Amino acid sequence: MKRGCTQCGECLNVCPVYRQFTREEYSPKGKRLLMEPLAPEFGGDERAAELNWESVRSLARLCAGCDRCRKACARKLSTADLLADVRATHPHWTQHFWQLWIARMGPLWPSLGLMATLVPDGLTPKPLKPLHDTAKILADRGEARPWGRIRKNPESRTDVSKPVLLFSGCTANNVRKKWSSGANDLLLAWGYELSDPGGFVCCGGTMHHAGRYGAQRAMEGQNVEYWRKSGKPRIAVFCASCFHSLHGYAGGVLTGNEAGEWLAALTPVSVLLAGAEVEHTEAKPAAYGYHQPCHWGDNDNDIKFLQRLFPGLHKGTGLCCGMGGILQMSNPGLSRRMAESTLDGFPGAISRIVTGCSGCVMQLNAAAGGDMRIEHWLDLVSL
Amino acid sequence: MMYASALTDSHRVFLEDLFGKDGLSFEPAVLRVYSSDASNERGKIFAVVRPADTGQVQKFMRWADAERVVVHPRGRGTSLAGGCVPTVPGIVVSTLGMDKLIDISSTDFVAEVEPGLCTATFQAEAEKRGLMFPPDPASGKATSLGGNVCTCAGGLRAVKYGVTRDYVLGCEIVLPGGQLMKFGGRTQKDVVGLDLTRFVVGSEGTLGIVTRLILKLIPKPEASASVLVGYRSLDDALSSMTKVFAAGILPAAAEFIGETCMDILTRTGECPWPGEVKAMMLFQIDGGRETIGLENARLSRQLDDALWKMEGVDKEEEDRLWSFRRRISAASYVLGPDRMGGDMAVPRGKILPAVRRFEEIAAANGKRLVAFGHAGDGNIHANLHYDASDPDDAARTAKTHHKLDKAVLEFGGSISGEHGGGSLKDVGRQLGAGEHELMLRIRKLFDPNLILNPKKGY
Ligand SMILES: Cc1cc2nc3c(=O)[nH]c(=O)nc-3n(C[C@H](O)[C@H](O)[C@H](O)COP(=O)(O)OP(=O)(O)OC[C@H]3O[C@@H](n4cnc5c(N)ncnc54)[C@H](O)[C@@H]3O)c2cc1C
Ligand code: SF4
Ligand code: SF4
Repeated sequence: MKRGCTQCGECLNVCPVYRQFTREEYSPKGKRLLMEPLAPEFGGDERAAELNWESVRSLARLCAGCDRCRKACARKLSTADLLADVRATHPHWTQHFWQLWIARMGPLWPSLGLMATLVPDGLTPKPLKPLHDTAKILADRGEARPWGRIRKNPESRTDVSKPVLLFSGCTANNVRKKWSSGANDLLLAWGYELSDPGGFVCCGGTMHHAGRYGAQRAMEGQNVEYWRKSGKPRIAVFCASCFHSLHGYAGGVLTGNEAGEWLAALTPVSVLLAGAEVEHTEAKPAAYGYHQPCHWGDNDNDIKFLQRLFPGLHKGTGLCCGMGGILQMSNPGLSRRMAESTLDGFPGAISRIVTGCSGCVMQLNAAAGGDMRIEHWLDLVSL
Repeated sequence: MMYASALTDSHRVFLEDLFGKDGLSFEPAVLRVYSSDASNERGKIFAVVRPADTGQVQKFMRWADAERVVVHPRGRGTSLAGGCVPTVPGIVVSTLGMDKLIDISSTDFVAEVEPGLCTATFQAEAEKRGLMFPPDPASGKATSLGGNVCTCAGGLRAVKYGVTRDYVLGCEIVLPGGQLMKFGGRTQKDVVGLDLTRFVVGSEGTLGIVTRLILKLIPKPEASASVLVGYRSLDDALSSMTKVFAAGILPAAAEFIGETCMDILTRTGECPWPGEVKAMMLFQIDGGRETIGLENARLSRQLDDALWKMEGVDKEEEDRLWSFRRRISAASYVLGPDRMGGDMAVPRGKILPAVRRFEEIAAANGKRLVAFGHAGDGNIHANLHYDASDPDDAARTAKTHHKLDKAVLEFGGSISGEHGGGSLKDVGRQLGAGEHELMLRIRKLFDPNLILNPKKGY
């Protein structure tokens, strides 16, 4: 039996949901106190517990899956994972909805987005507005002009000997194809040998948060099989959330030596583009910010990469954008408030924000007003 | 004492009118969260309220006293002594809705805050202005200032800078009955009347609800340096510390790490020290940028009998040294998945005999004592690990824990240097009968109907 929460309170300040409310019941600790008695791995038993899933659900599910609480916790307890476990045994409609959204409607995203832009704002029912806004920005708004042309410094000794498979993730595959093509072009220019990534499917991260473990495992199995078949090449990733869930395969679907090989193979695209030199273009604004995706954890190479290319990058003080997990579906209002707080964490002079996670780009753009724009860094560099 | 045993409909209406939907909950899921604390003990509550200002606290306390409704004030619930556990069913007052930093002055060296403000957030605000709020409980990121004041929290820096009590210049509290009392003020000196501010510090929520604090700040030292020193035994380590103090050096922190902790550290991670190192001291000194090197050299000269030494001068290097000390708490779980902790204090010169005696008691009950702590102020963390699902282990652990409390008194010590009596400690073992009785009489002057934190504290 796993030992649960000690109520030390270390996870309060790091949780973006707690930060919205400053109430203990919204903290990871609070959610655990409600869920652990229902979770058999922590010795819980729903039949004996005084509160059942129905009575704790509305509080317990307020989680964006950002993983910050696990990092802060001395016991490394992941509240997002516990929520996923409880969800797996107590399904709720949002999970089905999200599963459908990711698995079946992927190719339709751009047209869904387009449809959304045609619905006048005033006609969207209020509670659905945040979802509607996300759908709107799913429609590709066309080219962002790059802030810099980059090339590999000829002196740079990047090891390009191993072949690379580019893992693009659902958002890029469905609505931001130019991120994949951009990453592709850059990696080729650096001299990497790229294999066909056509056999990859969704990383499964969102399925995990939704507690759809069956669907998650199927996706994981498919991705791992494809990697094996391709001769275990490097996997280049440009989305922090995809990277986070791919990283989680080790110790789950992959064990032993192969888990180690997998971890060694997973590489952020910004790491592969070591030794980049830049020539700025006129499109580079005077002030710009960086939103740190939660899912790079303590190992965010994108910010180092971008600080070199675009000095003066201003890191926001906000926590999580609120996109993670299935919060978008289960509580769109809270998810939106979190995005707004994240944007409020930048000084007023900044209207261009760059980040390295597909989910953050979608979520923050949906919440951004005026001429504020949030770009993936792949939109801002070109050859 | 007769207390309200449930809330009536008119009680509920009163609370709804006073706190509105956002400041009140009767929801079982919400109440579950507020019915325990870091002691992991639990009690029953009727409601939780979340006042937004002092006026609301006053109206609430007038009502609660008249209706004999028990009140459990709560900061962030990190009490390890069960200070927030509802011993008698009542209403929890969460202060987290009152978390404003009202004023911070670099000329007066004073800050005024509401009690729900997080300690670490406040410290960071002070540091931005070149100021420091020295009390530094290890739980500072998780605690409220109100909670710190009501428990008189202490930390690593206590040896040089003292504990929370030394930094509270004044406070406002709401008494049962609703009267607002203002003690002390913004002056660093004030000897008029009884020092009732000091009564409130460490009172564990038994005298009133703290609604405002006036805190003292000092200039933040420009620089610091740390040294981690290895010895053959705890005996050697502590005698080396004695030499440091005898040479007139007052470190900002002086931590000891006993033999069992060293065993745990070597078993659970990478360790840079040689195998013969069986105990350690970790010193930190602070001061001006120009003089820190000299101070460091002065300290080093006193540590010439060490087997091994590692120095750190900037934040990154110091963090590396401190990471070993910080690792102990989580790493100790290799000795058992559950923990019973002690936070006793002894006079500085008694640390060694006390630790040895505690170890003996633990061994006699088939347990290993994990001893580390603030050597500079004699505060010993005496932790016991066990497996709660093994009844025999759990019983032996509880027995050992109990005996340690008794033993600490033999050394002229205190059964709690930091966490307080809460709902778990039998403070009558330490306090004289007459003194204890006087404390209870004072308590009754503030709270005649004993509605605040009954059966807690003292
Ligand atoms: C991992 C860990 C490490 C710790 N390390 C230390 C340490 O190094 N040093 C140390 O001193 N303590 C330590 N503690 C204990 C604890 O953090 C302290 O006692 C802290 O001061 C409690 O603050 P809190 O805001 O959580 O208060 P709470 O636990 O919420 O309350 C503590 C007591 O104060 C009362 N109270 C709180 N706010 C008010 C108010 N506004 N008015 C009236 N009464 C009030 C409560 O009723 C209760 O009796 C540690 C705890 C943990 C879990
Ligand atoms: S995963 Fe993030 S949002 Fe969810 S409980 Fe943990 S810190 Fe909060
Ligand atoms: S940090 Fe971990 S143990 Fe501590 S309160 Fe949060 S979940 Fe519980």
